[in-house]
Amino acid sequence: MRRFKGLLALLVVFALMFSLAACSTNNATKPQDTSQTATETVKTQFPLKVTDFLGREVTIEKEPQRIVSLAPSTTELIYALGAGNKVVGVTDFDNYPPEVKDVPKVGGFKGPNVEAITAQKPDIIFASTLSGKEQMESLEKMGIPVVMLEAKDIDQIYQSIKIIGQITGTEKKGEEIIKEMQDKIKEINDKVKNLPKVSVFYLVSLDGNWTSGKGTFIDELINLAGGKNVAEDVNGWAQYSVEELVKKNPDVIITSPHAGDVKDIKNMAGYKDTNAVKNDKVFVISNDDIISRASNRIVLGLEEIAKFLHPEAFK
Amino acid sequence: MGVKKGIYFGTAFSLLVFTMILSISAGAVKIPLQEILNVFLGGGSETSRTIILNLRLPRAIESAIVGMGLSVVGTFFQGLLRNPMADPYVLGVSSGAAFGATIAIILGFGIFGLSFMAFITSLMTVFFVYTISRTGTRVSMTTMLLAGIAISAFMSAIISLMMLLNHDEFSRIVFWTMGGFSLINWNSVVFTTPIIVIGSFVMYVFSRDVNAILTGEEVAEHLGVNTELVKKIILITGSLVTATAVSVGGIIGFVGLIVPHISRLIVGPDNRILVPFSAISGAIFLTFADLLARIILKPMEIPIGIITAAFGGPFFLYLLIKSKQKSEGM
Repeated sequence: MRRFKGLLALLVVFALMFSLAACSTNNATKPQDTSQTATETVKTQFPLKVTDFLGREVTIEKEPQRIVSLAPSTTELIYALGAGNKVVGVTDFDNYPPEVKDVPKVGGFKGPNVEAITAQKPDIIFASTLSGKEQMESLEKMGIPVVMLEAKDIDQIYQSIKIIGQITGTEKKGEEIIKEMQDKIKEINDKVKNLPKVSVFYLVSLDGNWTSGKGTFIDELINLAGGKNVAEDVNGWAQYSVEELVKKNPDVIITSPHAGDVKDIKNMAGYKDTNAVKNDKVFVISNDDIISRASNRIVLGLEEIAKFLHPEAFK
Repeated sequence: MGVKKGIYFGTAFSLLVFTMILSISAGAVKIPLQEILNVFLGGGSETSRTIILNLRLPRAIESAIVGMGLSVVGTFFQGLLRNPMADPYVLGVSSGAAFGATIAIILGFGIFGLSFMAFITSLMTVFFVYTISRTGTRVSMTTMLLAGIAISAFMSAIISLMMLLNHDEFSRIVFWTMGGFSLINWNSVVFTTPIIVIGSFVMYVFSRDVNAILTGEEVAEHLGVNTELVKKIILITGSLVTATAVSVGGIIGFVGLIVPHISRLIVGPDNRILVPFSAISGAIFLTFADLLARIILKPMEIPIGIITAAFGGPFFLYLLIKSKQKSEGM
């Protein structure tokens, strides 16, 4: 046993040295790449070790050819990175990009179906916290590496892009996507950052007055779009006091197409008395996915919100 | 005896008034007492007026009315179904309402359409349960209880399936079924109060007859009680009251189950006294629960069902243990 541990430690040391070496070669080759137009992207070295969002080190023996993605946001990123042709299984929730319609579905909302996943013979599984701990452990026991991605803010989306890029050998494309996102965010933020902050309430569902507080993408997007989330005093998704809403008196209310009827919102006690309703500033986001999914499309959501809050800046 | 009951009623009534005042004065937003008085005298700032008159006041009234209705229904159903576990939802009212609400949400109905749909489907469910349990003019209470359980399970399965097939509306359905009074406005108070108050009163009129039925249906008929008619009236009125409550507050468990028991432990089993006492206790309990739901984690609100179960359950157990000790001591 002791010998085995020693061997393991040695292996880890080697692995670390190896990955360090890989990093340095990456850095070294980068400038050359930009100068040579037709060079292939840096080939990822396999076996590859990545650290996922749970802080676990996952070893991937060879370049994956069959990917199962258990979160719509991850699926979007894989397609955006150009590795969509390797996706062989997604959840029932996946609806973007349109091609994903033809990919076999491996699970519903209560955690995915382990049998359906195994049937796809994946080389790698991208999971989320909703995927179910037991299910994922049983898949790992079958020798299928599981990488857990769970971005909670935009910086972590970049991190997801980097991890997926590394695994699917699309790091370069990943860098481009991150750059595009950063440019877009900067462009929008530059337009609005010197304008007066607009107070915003985001209504997730009229039934129970649910909102998105601190720590949600929506809260982050509102801030970047030159607004202030009136519900930043609650964490995550929460049922918000209508009294408090009346007191905070938001200038703008944004809702989703599934929150309930906008006509109802405008006639509801409490809501009726907010500046947002009085000045007819109740907006419906075109698509919840672009403001709640940890995908690169989040910048579209940001743009839409910024236009709701500061239409004058986008003329 | 009479004096003792008088004290119980006096205390309960004062407690109700106190709870209502507390419920109007406390909330997520702090409003000084002076400002509250100003509002009631026609002054106060616009914000405080909205909060007090359009949010807190209708909510306090609605929670009291719903608490009253559910407790009265629970009292009668427990007696009539001869089952201490019977509550207003036992005949499938809640799952029927949830079924209607789910369909309404999927079809994209607004708040009014949703409440109306929940109301109609819950009544249809009870009518269905009632129809299967009827042979000729007689209604079997046992069959009703079992049919109610079966239809609830079936409806819940269909709801889960509908949720599965309509991911987009998933959260709204879940949120609706958690219940609560955050959507209450004066319209809902005006719509529900007459139904629940009149319904409760109609049932109360039959308290003496239900007392007789409790001692045995044959005995009751001997005493000149038309048991089948009484059962029908109580079942239909009770279902109407419950459906009304569900349509505005969602599914609020535990009130109709434990308030009647607690009241029975305090004032005894005579329905003529028990029913009004349950009515007041239910009003206090739910108004207080709603107040807690609003302030415990402010500015966040928590679903009221969590409060009713978390506070009602242990209190009920305490009373059970206490009454057991009492009877053992005697």
